Amino acid sequence: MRLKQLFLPIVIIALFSNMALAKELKVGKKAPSFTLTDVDGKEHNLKDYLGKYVVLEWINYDCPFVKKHYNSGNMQSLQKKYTAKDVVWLAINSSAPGKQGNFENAEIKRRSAEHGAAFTAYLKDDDGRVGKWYDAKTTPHMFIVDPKGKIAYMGGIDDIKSTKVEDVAGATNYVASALDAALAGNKIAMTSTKPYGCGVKY
Amino acid sequence: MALSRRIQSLVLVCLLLAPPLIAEETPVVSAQILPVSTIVTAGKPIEVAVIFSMTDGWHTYWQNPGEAGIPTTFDWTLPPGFSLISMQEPVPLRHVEDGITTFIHEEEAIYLFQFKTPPEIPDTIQFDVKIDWLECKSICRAGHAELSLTMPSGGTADLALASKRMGENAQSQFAAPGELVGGHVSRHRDMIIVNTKAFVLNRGKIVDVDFFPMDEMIYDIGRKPELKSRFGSQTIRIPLLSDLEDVPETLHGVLKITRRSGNDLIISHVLLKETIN
Repeated sequence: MRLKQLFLPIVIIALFSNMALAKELKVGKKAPSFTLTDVDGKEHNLKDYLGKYVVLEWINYDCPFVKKHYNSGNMQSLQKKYTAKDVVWLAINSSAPGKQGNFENAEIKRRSAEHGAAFTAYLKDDDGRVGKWYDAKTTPHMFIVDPKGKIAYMGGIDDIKSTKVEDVAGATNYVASALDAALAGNKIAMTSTKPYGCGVKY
Repeated sequence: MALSRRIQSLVLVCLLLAPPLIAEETPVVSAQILPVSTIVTAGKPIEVAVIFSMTDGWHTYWQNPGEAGIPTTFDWTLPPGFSLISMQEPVPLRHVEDGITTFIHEEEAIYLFQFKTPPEIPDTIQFDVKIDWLECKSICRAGHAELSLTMPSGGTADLALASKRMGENAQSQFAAPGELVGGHVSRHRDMIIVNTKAFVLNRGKIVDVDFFPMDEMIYDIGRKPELKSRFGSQTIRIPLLSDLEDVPETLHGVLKITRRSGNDLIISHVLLKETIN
């Protein structure tokens, strides 16, 4: 009886804690914890990955900017390279049902296979809670969480804000630079940049 | 006959189902290039306009698009000896959707370009431009156009009137360069404070303000500026990002001011570039 009485307050406190974290989301601060389900029905809790670097990639397969990075093979290359180095790569879709980018699991799997996507998991955030905890504004919007669960990088994927596939090769990739530095035990030079892309379709 | 009727029914059903798909692919933003200057004179700047027309509900983005989107870009191929002097862009609208704030253009946006001319001008000159933009409504798509304008340097009478009207229309969409006469810009904690004593005295009371910054990642654009009135003076407080490390030296952007004059609301836009003290 006592446990049940405590349950609701605990949930409320947890929710407000994450909301408070979103307002204070900064490099070096604790990344908001979350549990989301992937397209195979498996749950992923960010805390499960403590001890590893985690990349959070806000995704919308129909967004021209996401198409740029997938049609060029750029995003998949990053996913393959860094998951091979024990980095966890979580693609998160926060599009609300009925809005651009929100698909059924079968369609997500089909598109992911078609692209040769190599993320660890594609997580569905239909109600947008996690997106709002992270203040995710665009697709793509990238976050790197360090092994201690703190934000190491947040912002854009690279420095050329366009939808053109041909711009990928000449761009400075902030995520790759950050991961290369972090995995080598070096300081990340650019820890925060302005993300660019389509607005997340909450 | 029965089979024919079945086929007709099938076609009808397909046509009824098809429109949403067709509508999604139809152009919703179009661009055209028109001369503003009707006669090209050596050594005198020439003006050209690019006009965007947008289907209801669709928008493109301002040079600082805000928290999402990208600005429209122009890649010019100019006649020999010509060079770009300036681009004027219409003032934007604030657009907030799902908690994401962007600065957009809707319906029509006229961009005005001014070019420097060489000492000698050929009889015919041609301007080519490749344009890229992002168009959004409930979905977002990349937009692209390649436009060309060829005009005789001597001009034509047909161009004269249309160009004059279009040039006047364009000017009404731009912010007027302005300065704060007797005003003062300073920083206090996480706010840029603009004192507007002169506005109150001369042009009617300010009832609403907005600010569209040219610089990104400095201002908290998710929060509208605040207007404070006190003892006959008015102060505009523009919020900065909370984790801002470097203090900006200049307040650079478009200030939208709504004043009440009698029963009328008068909206003006001022292009500001003021030193922050």
